[in-house]
Amino acid sequence: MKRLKLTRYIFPFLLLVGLFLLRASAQGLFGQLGQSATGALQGAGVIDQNQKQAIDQGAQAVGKSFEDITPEQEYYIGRAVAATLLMSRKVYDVQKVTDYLNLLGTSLAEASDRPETFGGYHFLAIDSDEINAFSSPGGLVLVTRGLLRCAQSEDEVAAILAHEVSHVARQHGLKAIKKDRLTKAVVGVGNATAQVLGPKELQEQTATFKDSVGDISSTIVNSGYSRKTEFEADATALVILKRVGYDPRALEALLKVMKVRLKPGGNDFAKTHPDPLDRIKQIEKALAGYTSPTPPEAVLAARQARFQDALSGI
Amino acid sequence: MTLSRLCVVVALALTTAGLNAATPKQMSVVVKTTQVRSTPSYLGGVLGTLSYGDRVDVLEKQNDWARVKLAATGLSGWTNLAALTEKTIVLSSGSGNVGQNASSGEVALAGKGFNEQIETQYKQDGKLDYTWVDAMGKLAPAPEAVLAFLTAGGLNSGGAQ
Repeated sequence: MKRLKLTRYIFPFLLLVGLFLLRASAQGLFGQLGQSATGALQGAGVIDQNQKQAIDQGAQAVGKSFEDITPEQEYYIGRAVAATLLMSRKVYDVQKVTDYLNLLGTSLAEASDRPETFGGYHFLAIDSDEINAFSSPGGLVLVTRGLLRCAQSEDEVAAILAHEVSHVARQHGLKAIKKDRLTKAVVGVGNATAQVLGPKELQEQTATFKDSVGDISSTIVNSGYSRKTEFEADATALVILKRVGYDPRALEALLKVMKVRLKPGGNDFAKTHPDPLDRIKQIEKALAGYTSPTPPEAVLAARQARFQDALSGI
Repeated sequence: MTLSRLCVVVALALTTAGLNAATPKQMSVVVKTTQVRSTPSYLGGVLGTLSYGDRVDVLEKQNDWARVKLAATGLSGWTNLAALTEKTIVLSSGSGNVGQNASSGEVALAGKGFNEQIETQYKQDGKLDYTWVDAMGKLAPAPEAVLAFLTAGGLNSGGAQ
């Protein structure tokens, strides 16, 4: 009987200890095995030294994804994307517009699942009739006058900004970086502990940086995110709007205006976003059964007054 | 205590130790600056600011907020978890055994990969103008202004989610 008890408890215990040890050593062990394997292949003359190095580096890079990009790296990427976008776009430099967008945008960002980024969320209007908006990684958000003109209330401006904040919070921009660049972006080149890169390493790393920035810029300006990504940003925007107390149906109202104003073949949201009617369908599904908030008249009037004060001349 | 019971106790202790390890007592600031507030909410008054790499003691957690304390200054209050990481941030290569630690996954080396040096080179190569990007980075309404904006519009702070 006693022996039976021992077997009943000791084996599970040993199994637990075994699993614990295995987990602790797995990474190092497999890493070593991988290197010995390439060493053996090299020894056998199947691959040369360079190929061995490439394979080993590749093995170390396994698992590097956009999630490994640090908030600091994201910040530098985002600044470069914004600088690239601003090369061919003029800022609409009107203080009351900028102030309003930043008060509203900050309120929305703070209600997102990622309220803080390395450099924070910041918003600017672009002097263009196009219906367009761009969110650079880390939180630099640009919105055209053309898009702001589609909004007929503060809730609708909130809908525009909440959609852009959602792209930032969900790191959609970083996901556009091609996977083969990620190791250099995340780990760096050469001596990873060096604080200042030598000329060759600097050139190599800057090239990767430029390519990564290019991946994101061309996605947000030309090809657009996938339909799934845009629907995801809409769904996230609805959550943010609800949390802050705006009517999420404002996004639907905004899209109806955009449907009328977007010109087929246009070089803006017409090119990079799903048809507003498709987005509305998804939003209606997400809001089925939802009752919109009914703020007191005075509150609505206050919102409308400051919306008009800031954006009537847009 | 029989041997079999001892085994169960040890196994349980091992499991509990694993669970405890998942809640670190220290975290690091992973953003340029973040505010320490009097309550776990963006409505809370700002008591002070933490900077990138600051290592803080985590006293408790509540939803998305951690009550932290910076030993060096005694600054204590609530910080949003989005601004914190469980990793240790090493700001310069001079501090400690950076190379070894950086590869362990528990330590993040500041300035690794894409950094200011790369940005300077990129800016120069592409003749890019960062004037507006720099100006944009400074567009930050005061916490009191955001609160007043929300209140006047009959809205909730993000912390009230």
